[in-house]
Formats: sequence, C-alpha cells, structure tokens
Amino acid sequence: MITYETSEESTTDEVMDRTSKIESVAIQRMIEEVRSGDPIATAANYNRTHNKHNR
Amino acid sequence: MTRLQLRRTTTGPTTSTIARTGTPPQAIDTVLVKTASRCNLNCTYCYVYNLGDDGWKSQPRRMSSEVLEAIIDQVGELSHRQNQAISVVLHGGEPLLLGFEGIQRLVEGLKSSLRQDAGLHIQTNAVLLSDRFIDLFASNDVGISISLDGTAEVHDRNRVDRHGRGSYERVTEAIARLLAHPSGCGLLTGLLAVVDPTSDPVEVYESLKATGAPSFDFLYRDGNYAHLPFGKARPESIEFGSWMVRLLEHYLDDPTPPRIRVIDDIIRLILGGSGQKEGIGLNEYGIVVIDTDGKITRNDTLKGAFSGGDRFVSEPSIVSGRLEEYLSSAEFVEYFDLQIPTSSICQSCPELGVCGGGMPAHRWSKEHGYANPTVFCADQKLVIGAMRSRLSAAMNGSSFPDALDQPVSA
Repeated sequence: MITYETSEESTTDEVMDRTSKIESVAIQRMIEEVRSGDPIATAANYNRTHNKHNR
Repeated sequence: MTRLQLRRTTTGPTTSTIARTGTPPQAIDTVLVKTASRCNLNCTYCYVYNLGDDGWKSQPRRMSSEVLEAIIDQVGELSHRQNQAISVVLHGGEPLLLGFEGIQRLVEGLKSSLRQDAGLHIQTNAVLLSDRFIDLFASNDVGISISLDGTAEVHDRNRVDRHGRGSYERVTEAIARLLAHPSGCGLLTGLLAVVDPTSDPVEVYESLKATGAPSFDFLYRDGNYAHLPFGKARPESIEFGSWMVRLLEHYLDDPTPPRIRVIDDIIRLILGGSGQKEGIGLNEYGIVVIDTDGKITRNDTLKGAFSGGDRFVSEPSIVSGRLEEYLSSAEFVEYFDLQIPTSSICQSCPELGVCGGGMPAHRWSKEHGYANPTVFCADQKLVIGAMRSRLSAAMNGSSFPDALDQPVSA
C-alpha cells in the first residue's frame, strides 16, 4: 500500500483535549482510533480481515 | 499514542504528490477469488450481470480443482514473500455455488498455505449459507460479509431470485442463524448495502442495526458519465449525497452506533488518519482478481465502466503462469496506477485528500476515459462538507483549526 499525504499538518493535542466533551459516540471513537493509530483497537471484529475491495 | 494531525483542505495538491507512480505495488492487499461465475440471485443493479459486461457467459460455472490448487499454492506463497498481511476474499457471482467440497478444499488449503496474519473472508448473499458452511467458516476463521439492502421493501425491490422473488426473508434468517452460532458474533464482519436514493436512510439504518450485525457498509449504485447511476438525474445532482447526509446525521446522533465503514473512513480522513478501503482517500491498494477460469484480471468493479473493462490484454492465468511475476508487468502497473485521479478538476479540488476521486469505474466517460471526477463528485462534496460541519460543531466550532471548516457547497 502506498500512502499519499496531501494535507498540511496542524498541532492538535490541545484540540483533542476537548474531545472528551463530544457527545457523538461515532465521532469520539474515530478520534480515539486515529490517535492510537489502530483501527482495530476499539472494535475487535471490525475490518479484521482487512479486505480493501469495495464490493 | 500518536499525535492527531487534522487534514486541512488544500488549495490544490502538487502534481508530484499525486502523480502516478509507474511502479508495482509494494504488496498485494486483497486477492478476490471468483469461485463461481453465476449467481442464484439476479439483483437489478449488479455490475457483474446487469450493467453491460457479459464476460461471465464465457466463464465456467465453478472453479476447477486445478485453479483452486494453483490459488492455494501461489497466493499462499505470495503472502509469505511480502511485508504486509494479505486478504483473500471468496467472491462471485455467489461464491457458495462452488459447493461445499470445493469451498472446504479452498478454505482449508488457504488456511494452511497463507501466512498466519492473512485474512480469509467471504462476500455472500447468504441464501445458501447453511449450518454446514457456518461450521466450516468457524473452524477456519473465515469472516462473513452479507449483502442486505435494508428493510424488506427496499431489499426486495432489487435483490430478487430468478423467479423475481425477493430474498429478504431468506437472508435475514441466515443472519439470525449465523449470530446464534457459538462463533457467530466473531464471524459476521458486517452487512453490505447498496443505496436506493428513493428509500428512507433512517429506516434502512435501523433495519440493518436490528439484525445485530456489528458493522455496515454502503455502496452507491454503479454508474458513470456514459450511463448515469439509477436515481441520479444529472452528474451535478445530489440524490445520493442527500441520502448519505441524512444517514450520517442519524449515525452520529445514535448513542449506541454500530460501525458504518464509509462514514468512519470520511471521519478518519478528515482527522488526518487513513481510509480502510478503496474508493475514498488517496491510498492505492493492490487488488487482484482471479476469475473462475483462473485468469488474472483487474478489479472486477471496472466491468461497470465498459464491457471487458476488467480484462488484461495479455489474459494472464494463474494456471499457466506465476501470479507474483505478473504483478510487476507493465500491464499490471498501468492498472494499479488507475486508482490515482488524473482529472484537472480533482487535482485542484480542496477535498481530494478525503474524496480521493472515488472509484475509477465511476469516473468513466467515452470522451475522456477515466480522466474525470467521480460521477458522484457533487454528492461527495455534500457529504464531506456535512461531516466537516458536524465535526466542527462537535468540537466547539470557532476554537478549532480551520482544517474542519466546510470548504465547499454543493
């Protein structure tokens, strides 16, 4: 897999401190996953077969 | 724990950033194995049978032992040679039409030949998902993804058998049986639904959630500039985007949400993470298909662009050649690079890093080939914009970096 990064980066630690106040469970868990760098960490069965085909 | 890096909208990525590589993939992510070329359902929107490609007619109905053994041998070997885990997906047509003995040989053979971290998976309509198959998949840790479009009414509009009868009851009965299996909750990886933009997304969401499945994914109806998707009046209209925005609002407000892969990917990408599947974001994935006759083909979704769009000119075969050698061929590299969007509209789009230009099959036009934005461009702008607004609001709006600002309006 080749990853292309087209974004600029911004410091977000202070931003993330506020995420504890986020009410949306779906958003909160995505923030946790991106921070931890592990999409499987919070859902054992989610994408465990790492299939990349979109059908 | 890594620092989170929010993905800002861009004023236009440099061409060097997203230029086609001209090099083979560093690894194969997914091998799709077409164990059967026919299907026991005849879904109206199917890209395999009902969008103009007739390649299935010349295929054998089921994979031969010779092809199965070549796959077990060569895909297993490939998994050990590359640096990242490989995923093998049994697919069709309806893959269970291969029959129990053939599926058993393939699954047990792959389990033995693949590296331990490989994923084994099946995408099925579940009509033939007997307890015997479930036991087999449980014994070999085969993830099961089931196609279900939502409520009985929505599902049975399109997912019908050869007699025109809906399949909803048979599919939901199989899901219930699977989840009742001692290993069922760990086996069911999710439900795959095709969007009917005339349906109610909240009803669809709640009906899928009621099955007990841990995650869902949603696909837009296939189409392109030559043949607009069902339900889409014009390339610039937003029927699918409007539907998806209503879905994401409901999802984000749900206190006990399952997973929705495509929406989670949009959130991840806006937050600076990576997508998990093709069709969104700018990751390139090594996806290869082994057809029922053993031919190595491009991503089967390219059938949806034009008849034969998934075929390599040289017609390589896993029986007469070596899969690993073919992966570095010029033909394969050209196909691999097809994922990178080349349209000038995409290259200057501030949302390219999240959208990724969509599925190549959805970019197709007779005039410009794949050098177009996805035919769902306006829909995607609407959805990504809505998600940025929700993220911004959730994070207290003005005190957040402009990375979360909504950059476009559809």
